[in-house]
Amino acid sequence: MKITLELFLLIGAILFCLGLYIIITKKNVIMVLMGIELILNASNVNLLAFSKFDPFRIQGQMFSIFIIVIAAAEAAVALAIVLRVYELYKTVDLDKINQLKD
Amino acid sequence: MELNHLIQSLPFSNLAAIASLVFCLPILVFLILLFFGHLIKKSDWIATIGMGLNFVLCAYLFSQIWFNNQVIHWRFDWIHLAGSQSITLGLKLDKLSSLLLVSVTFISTLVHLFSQDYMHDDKQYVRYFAYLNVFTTSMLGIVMADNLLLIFVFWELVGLTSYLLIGFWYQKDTAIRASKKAFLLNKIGDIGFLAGLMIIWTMCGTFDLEALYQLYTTSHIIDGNWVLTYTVSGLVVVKSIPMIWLTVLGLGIFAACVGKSAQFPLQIWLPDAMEGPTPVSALIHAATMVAAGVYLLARVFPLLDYHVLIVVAITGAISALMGAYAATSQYDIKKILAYSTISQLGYMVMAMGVGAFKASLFHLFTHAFFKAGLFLSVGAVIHAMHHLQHTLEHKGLDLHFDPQNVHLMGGLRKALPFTFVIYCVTAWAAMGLPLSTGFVSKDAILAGTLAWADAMSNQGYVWAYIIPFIAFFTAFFTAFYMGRQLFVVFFGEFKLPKVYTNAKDAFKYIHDIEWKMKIPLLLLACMSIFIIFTPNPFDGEAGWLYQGISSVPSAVPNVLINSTELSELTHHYHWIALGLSLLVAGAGVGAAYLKYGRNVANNQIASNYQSNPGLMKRLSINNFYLDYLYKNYATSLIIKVADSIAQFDNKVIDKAINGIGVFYVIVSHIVAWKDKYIVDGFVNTVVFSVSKIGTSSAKIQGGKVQLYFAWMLIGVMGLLIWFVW
Repeated sequence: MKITLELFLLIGAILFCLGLYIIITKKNVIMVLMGIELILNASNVNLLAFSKFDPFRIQGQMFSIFIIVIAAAEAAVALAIVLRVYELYKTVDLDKINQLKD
Repeated sequence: MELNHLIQSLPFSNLAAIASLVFCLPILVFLILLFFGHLIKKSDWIATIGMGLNFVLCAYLFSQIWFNNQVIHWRFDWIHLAGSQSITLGLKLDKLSSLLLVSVTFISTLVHLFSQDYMHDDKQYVRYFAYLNVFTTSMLGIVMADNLLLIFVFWELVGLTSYLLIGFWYQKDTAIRASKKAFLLNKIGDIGFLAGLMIIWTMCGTFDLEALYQLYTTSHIIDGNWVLTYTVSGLVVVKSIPMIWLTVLGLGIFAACVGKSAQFPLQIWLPDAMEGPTPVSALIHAATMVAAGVYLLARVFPLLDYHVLIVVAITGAISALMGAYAATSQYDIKKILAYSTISQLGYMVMAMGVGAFKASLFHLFTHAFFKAGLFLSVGAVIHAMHHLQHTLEHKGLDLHFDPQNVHLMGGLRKALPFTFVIYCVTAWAAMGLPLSTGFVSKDAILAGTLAWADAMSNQGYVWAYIIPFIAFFTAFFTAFYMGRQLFVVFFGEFKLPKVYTNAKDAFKYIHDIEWKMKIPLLLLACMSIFIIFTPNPFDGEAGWLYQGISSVPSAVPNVLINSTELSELTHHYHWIALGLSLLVAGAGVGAAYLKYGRNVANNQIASNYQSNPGLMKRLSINNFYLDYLYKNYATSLIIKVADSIAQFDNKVIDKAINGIGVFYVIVSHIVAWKDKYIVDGFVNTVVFSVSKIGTSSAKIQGGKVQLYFAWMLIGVMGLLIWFVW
């Protein structure tokens, strides 16, 4: 069976949806960060799939590598923020960190 | 005729300044006595000298006015109402008022002097002089005022001071009651005055007497309406009113005169007013205040239409007769004079009514002097009797006899020779016997009534002859009661020892009066001799007073009798009246002599204790039972009416008000329910829903990041869908 573009896009969509689901539902900040990673990876999958139509310049794959790098940096920054948040609130439960309403 | 021109301001002159001073001086003395009287030793002399000075000033004013034939008139705007005429105040002195000024201050001065002795032992000595001064001021105010409103103000003030002086001995119950009676009866008349003033203001828009004359003379009778036409600041004003109101107006003002001058049917206060000190009776209730009614009549005389004048004449005649008849059997020495005053004032009022304007005023002045003289000499008698009572008390005889009862007097001519002479002279004038002032003025009035009756009968009113008939009848009674008083008090034997047998030698303790009382008596007696007023003892018209005062022609549009015709007729009747009055006065004195002069002692003692006097005598003693009638019919009727009104108030008006109250309570309950459940409910619903919306929308901003994210997601999806659609 030939793997078609639609299947790639489907996987990307599934990943995106899972990421979204995790972002919205999980209480833990770390889990939310993981959800964000999933979404980034979903976009990576999409970029890779579309880069098949650009065999010479492989711009999509380049983009993905950039994204992975930036995602790593982002994760580092985000985890640092999470650490600060944890120091401040002694919790990583997003439902309890609701000071924005004030 | 421009009204604003008629009542324009008039400048203040030097003589007006003196007149104002005359007016203010007694007020000043009053205030000094009121506030510092107890600190000053000679407060009585301050009052007396102040009044004497006032008399001198008045005499100066009089000489200026009378001999230079001028009129002092000072007028200024008092109240200026927007869109209406202004109300003016002012001071006006013509011959008549200046003459009255002189006589008022003259008698007032004498009464001050007399009172120094008479009231000497009184605790309220200073207050007495203070009251006398404020009375004099208000009387001068009436005399000087140039408009009816101002006259009304002083009129009330005179009423007040009269009230204060009648009730001067406030410890005496009778005095308090007498003062209240006088005040209330005067008020009944004053209501008429007020009503008259209202009509005058409505019609004429001014109270100024001079302006009123002018307006009246230009008024007309059109179709039974009294029509006045004048301009106010150039705008023509036409006032029309049914003619009856012209009469009502006159009657209203006359009602004030009836009250103040003690005329029928309001005369009953005057005899009771004798409860006041005797000098007060002399000043206020004989010479000046009661004459204010006649003065007012003289002032408004041209404004009275003939219906009013007929009423005036009849009222005067009735009062004259009733007063004279009631005086014939009084036993209180002062009450005889009080009834005599009613009678004499009745004469003056009657003379006004019959158009004998000058005769009335002439009698006003002659009466003022001889009646003041009579009162003061009677005061001297009372004073002597009081002293006798005190002397007897010191001797250990505690007799509580009435010092004013004539039945206890008699033969006093020997004990009080000076008083006797004065009394004789003044009583001579009161009786209307020749060579006295009273004779001349009374003769003028009698001639006036005869002339009026003649003129009236020419117009078809034959009944008018009853007025001169009553007048002559009254003249008879006048001579009779004066003769009775003279004989009973001064002739015969002293009767006190006959009633109180243990006071046998009381007569020798009676002493004649001090010089301070003698001077006023002497001066007043001199003023009762004809030569003061006229060179001819049989004709007042030759006198200076008659020549000086000019009669004012009637200003009302409906005149019944021509005044020139009347004066010609008066001339014609002069000698007839003279003869007749001599005849009746002589008859009166003769009758008094026959009844009381001969054999006085037995006769009097007998009649004093006569158990069952005849009807005529009882009518006389009780003044025709007027007091009784008023008390039992008028007063009780008023009380009944008041009771029924109170009942109506309780039963109907209070009930209605309570019903309305209940109704409102019910309505308010309904409104409260509606407020609570409908209005408040609506508001609460709004509040509730707004708060619900608030809380539900607040949840959106719950501070939960994931929720924000979810909303953002929904938003982006929405946008996408919207774009793609």
